[in-house]
Amino acid sequence: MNLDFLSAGGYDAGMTFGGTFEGSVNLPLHRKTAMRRDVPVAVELPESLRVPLCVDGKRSAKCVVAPGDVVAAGEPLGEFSGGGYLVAPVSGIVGEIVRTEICVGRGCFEVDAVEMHDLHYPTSSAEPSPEPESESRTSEELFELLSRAGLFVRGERITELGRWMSHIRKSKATRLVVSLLEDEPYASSRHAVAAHFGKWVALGARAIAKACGLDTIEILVDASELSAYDELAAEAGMSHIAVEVKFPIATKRLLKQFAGRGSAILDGIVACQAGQSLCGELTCRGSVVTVAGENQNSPRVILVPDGMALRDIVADAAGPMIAGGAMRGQLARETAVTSAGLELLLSMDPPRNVSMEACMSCGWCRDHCPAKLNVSLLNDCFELGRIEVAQHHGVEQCLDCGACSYVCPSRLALRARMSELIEAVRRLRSAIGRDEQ
Amino acid sequence: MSGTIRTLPPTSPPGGLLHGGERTMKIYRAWTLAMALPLGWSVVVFGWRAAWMIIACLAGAMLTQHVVGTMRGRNSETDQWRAARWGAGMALLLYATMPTWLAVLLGSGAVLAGMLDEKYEPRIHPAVWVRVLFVAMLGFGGVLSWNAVTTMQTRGGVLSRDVLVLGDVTRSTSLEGQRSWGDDPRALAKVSTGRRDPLLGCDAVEQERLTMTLAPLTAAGESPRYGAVGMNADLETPHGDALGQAMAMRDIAFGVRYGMLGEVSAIGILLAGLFLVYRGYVRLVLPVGVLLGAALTATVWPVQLLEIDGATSWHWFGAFYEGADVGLVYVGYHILGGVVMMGAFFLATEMRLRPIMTRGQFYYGAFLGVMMMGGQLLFPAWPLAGLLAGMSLWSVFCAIRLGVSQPMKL
Repeated sequence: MNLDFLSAGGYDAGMTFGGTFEGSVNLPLHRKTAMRRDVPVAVELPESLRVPLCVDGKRSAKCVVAPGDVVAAGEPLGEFSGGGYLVAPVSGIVGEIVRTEICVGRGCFEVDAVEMHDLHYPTSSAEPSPEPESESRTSEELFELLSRAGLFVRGERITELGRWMSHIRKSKATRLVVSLLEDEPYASSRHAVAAHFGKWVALGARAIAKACGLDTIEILVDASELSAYDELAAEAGMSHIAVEVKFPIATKRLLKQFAGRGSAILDGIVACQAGQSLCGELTCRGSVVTVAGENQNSPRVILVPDGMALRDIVADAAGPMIAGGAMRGQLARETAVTSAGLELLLSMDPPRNVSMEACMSCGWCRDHCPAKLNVSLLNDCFELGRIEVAQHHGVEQCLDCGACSYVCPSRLALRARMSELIEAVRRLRSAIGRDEQ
Repeated sequence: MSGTIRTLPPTSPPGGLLHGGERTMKIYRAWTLAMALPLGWSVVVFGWRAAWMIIACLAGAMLTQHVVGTMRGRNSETDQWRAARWGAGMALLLYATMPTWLAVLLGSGAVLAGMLDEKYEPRIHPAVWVRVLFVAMLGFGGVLSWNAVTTMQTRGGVLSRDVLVLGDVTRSTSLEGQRSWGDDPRALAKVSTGRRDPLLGCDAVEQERLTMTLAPLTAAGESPRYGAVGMNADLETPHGDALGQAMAMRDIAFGVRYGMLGEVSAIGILLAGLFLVYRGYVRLVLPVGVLLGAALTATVWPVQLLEIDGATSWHWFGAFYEGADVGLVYVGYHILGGVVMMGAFFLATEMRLRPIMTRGQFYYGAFLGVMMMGGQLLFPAWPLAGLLAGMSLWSVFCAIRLGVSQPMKL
């Protein structure tokens, strides 16, 4: 692991300053994380939900309910083949199996969904109970409870929490690092959760660490917003790693660089939901979504149940919806619904009349690439179909962050081109493997 | 039941949803703005004619980008024979700005590289072709600012105990061996100045060549006055002051005397270049590499020592031959003469041909610095020949740049 770009600083009162790294994009102020202090509130429930039985566009859960069943929030709607459950986001009555669309990563998928109606939230308290039961439970009990909570961890792919914990147990990880950094411009979901639900985050992190057999817990936070984490800082046994935030510093693979060897990176929102789930206070299985964008007059952070139509969330803002962020997201269709892993919904117009020009080899893509790829050269490989050369020059190290596309003065679709190159490299490799067999 | 998943066609525009504020034209504007300082200074001191060289350089750079853009879509159609034709075309056009044998050598190299090397990088073909246009533009600019070209001819690598003249002695007394556009410098002199001396039948430029002698800075028996560079002829600047006296370093640095490029302020170019560095269009490592390479070459390059009896001899590390003060003047005069500064900040940094990676840029810069100074010392009449030859060589053997790439393992 190359840590040369880390500039580790001093250590003061449990606070490690992680510094920053070379490259990346220092976004203008209005595009930085919104850092909103709103309490994340649950949205008003629509008449019906279309809860997708697939969360990643690859694996689909087997439906375990029938039309007319009454389900409570957190009860299984589907079961994945390798274990893990897809649960009801809120209480309601199961309807038909319908088709719906989800936006995951860079793709849009049409998947099966369970329709639910007569929806309502369960009651909850605002604070965790003084002596949560999780403190007295064994690690195996916690593991079982958390595995059935119906939570998903969003990393390079979306994984059930139970499967993620199993993986961590088998790995050599010794500490849990809870990330409260945003990984897209405009996003502020994790900041809002950390600022208002810090105790839930701490409770959930401790439970997950115990379930996974991890010794220590650390929290990755934005160095410029330390005051937002006072509540978390008050929790005993948790130290902070403060980093200077530039896009895409919160990308999972970069976070591993900051956290170091033996670290298991966990999303702070998942930790919060795990804490609420253990105490029976999780009112809504779904996503903490930042609604923002240049067309959005009332940016906010809201709790959204899975299966809610995206258009209902941004009904106050006309125009295109962008699911997943401006750097790595995509234009969402009008019929798309929320699914696990959605954190950002933007109302903004995509750039119009963008004419791509020839690469002028300015080199800014390379300067801003966190992986230090020679993107200009790789772009040539794309244009000339030189797959092997691209492989030789490490195209598979691409983080898919989109920083190159952001800075390109020629407006080249570099991120999309790198993705296509990676796919081509993988196809080439598999073809070579077949030939050798 | 287990559902089915269908991937839907993408909806996002291919260029991404969020962009920074930079555009290609914005970069061109910044370069133009950067050039305004040395350009303006030249115009103030020497008049509009002096600006031709700079305008030609800038136009060449912009033309480079434009033509690359228009030709780039045909990369896949490029074959080796087309590369060979371009190489031949380059050989013909390089003829205008460098000695014949060097132009032929470079062009032949391009031809051979295009025909023989299976790994020849097709993407450089447009670059080579554009380099041809670029060189042609520079040659055109050189012709128009002929005054600059002829001034270059008086510079070279001569260092003497009593006479400190940077000029090719063997060529300074005769027109023999000098080649220029059309091999008729007299005709070009008419084009350049138009003012002819009624007694000598030639203009001031020709007069400079014909009457060029080495001007001693010291009288016999006196200590040499180092720190200055002697000029030879009683020419006048447009402002009327004589050039026959010693030329101080600060004069050539500020551009109040004719320099290697004719009428360019080294400090003006430096400030303009630093502006580009500040804007992020130029990475400092490249011009630093050029300057280091050029300074190193000027330091170790053998100089021709003029003896009192007129004989000449060669000495390595000529910059130190007469002591550190002379060495500084010698090297500094070469560096500040105009060509090196212009090359370091405005020609070598031309984006299409320079490497992307930091280390590659340093190697490229150092290579061009060595080539530039070597060309300047070997062919004082064509001070850009070394630089352009270096850029052409790097273009032809572009695969060198491909090896300098170090992605980080994440």
